[in-house]
Amino acid sequence: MDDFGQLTRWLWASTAILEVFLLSLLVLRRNVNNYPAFSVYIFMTLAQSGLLFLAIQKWGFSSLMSWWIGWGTQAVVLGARAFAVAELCWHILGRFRGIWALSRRILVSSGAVVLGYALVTARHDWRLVLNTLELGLELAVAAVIVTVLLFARYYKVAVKPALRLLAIGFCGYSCISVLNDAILEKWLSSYVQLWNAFGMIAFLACLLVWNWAFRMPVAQPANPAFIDGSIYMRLIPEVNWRLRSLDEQLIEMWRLETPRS
Amino acid sequence: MSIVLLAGAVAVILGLLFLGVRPMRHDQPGAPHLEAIEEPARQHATYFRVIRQAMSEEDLAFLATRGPLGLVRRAHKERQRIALLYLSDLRADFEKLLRLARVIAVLSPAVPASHEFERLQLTVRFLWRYQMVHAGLYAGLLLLPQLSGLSQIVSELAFRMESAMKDLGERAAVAAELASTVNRSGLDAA
Repeated sequence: MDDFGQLTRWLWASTAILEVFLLSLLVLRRNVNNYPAFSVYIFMTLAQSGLLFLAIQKWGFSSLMSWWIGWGTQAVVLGARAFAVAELCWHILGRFRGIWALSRRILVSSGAVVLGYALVTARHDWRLVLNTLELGLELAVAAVIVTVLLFARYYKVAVKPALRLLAIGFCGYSCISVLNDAILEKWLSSYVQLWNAFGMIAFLACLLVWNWAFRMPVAQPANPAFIDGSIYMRLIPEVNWRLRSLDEQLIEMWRLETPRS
Repeated sequence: MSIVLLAGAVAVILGLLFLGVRPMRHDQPGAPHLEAIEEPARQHATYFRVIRQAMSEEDLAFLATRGPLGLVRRAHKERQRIALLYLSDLRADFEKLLRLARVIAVLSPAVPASHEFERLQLTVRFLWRYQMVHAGLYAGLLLLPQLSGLSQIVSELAFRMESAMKDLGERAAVAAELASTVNRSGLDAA
């Protein structure tokens, strides 16, 4: 335990308590059935905390074994996080079959593009390969969440307050992680302790937000009554054609109606 | 990636997150429904003829020859104000039609990407040009009568939509009835 600072120890304990509390809320409020991926993610983070605690106690903070356990469990947690984010996206738009099929492709593409860009432009230092991967994934997660929220906004799909809080937590934590990882990449040696503390504080804040989101059971909205597919094919091309005409009309107005000097 | 670039990306993401999580003006729980757009978008567009009549060039010319300069100026300002009001009402009509298109997209079981992207692109372009025309009117560069084409398109579309909506409402009622029948039978409709 000597490897832990006082602040880190305190943060560690608070995080674990909040994780247990959140898991209890998910089970007691029966949200676990509707949010299985999120529940697994929270369980994974709790398990990671426990494993790391034991590893650092046994082998020390700077040991190779602790390093392997730390990044190994982090990879699993990141995977669970990706599933939880996918679940969040599904809860926001999944009921609407048509736009969900469309948005799913856009979300996967935007996530892949952001991840690819982050990895390609990263500093290629073998010591930081996992750190770089994490940075890319977090940036992709943030981009996906923002895209799904904007999608919902464009289609005027109301997002439940609990889902909004989940999104804020995921996106906020991802943004802080990205900045944290970027700073760690640049000032590796002198920043490790601070990096840990910042990451934990950010996650603690997210846990508070998520606990608040799940303080009550989150009801599943009813599926909408879909209309016949032919209505879309009949009306929408017509709407688009009219909109195009309207747009052309505006161009004409602008060209022709300025006073001739 | 440099820290500055990443910080910029994070700032943009946080800004968009703020936009995304803001509650909508008419935030309603549950799914969008057809009743939300029962009002056909034709009120403002169809008033154009009356407005044009009231603001004819001949009237202004007549006033210019007979009336004092102050009165002509005031009349011109009033015309400009009404033109701006009319344009913003026209935009409201336009947005109503867009809302209808969105509801149709949301409630459709399949949505071709090409149509959706086309509408998004058109909307962005239209709103941009609307701002330009608005600025032109505000600065006194554009004249009101030439808005007639714009008005005609909106009202034509509104008329077609109105008849389509009737059909749509009947189909939606049938779909809702079917869904509730399936639910009552204890089957998973989803």
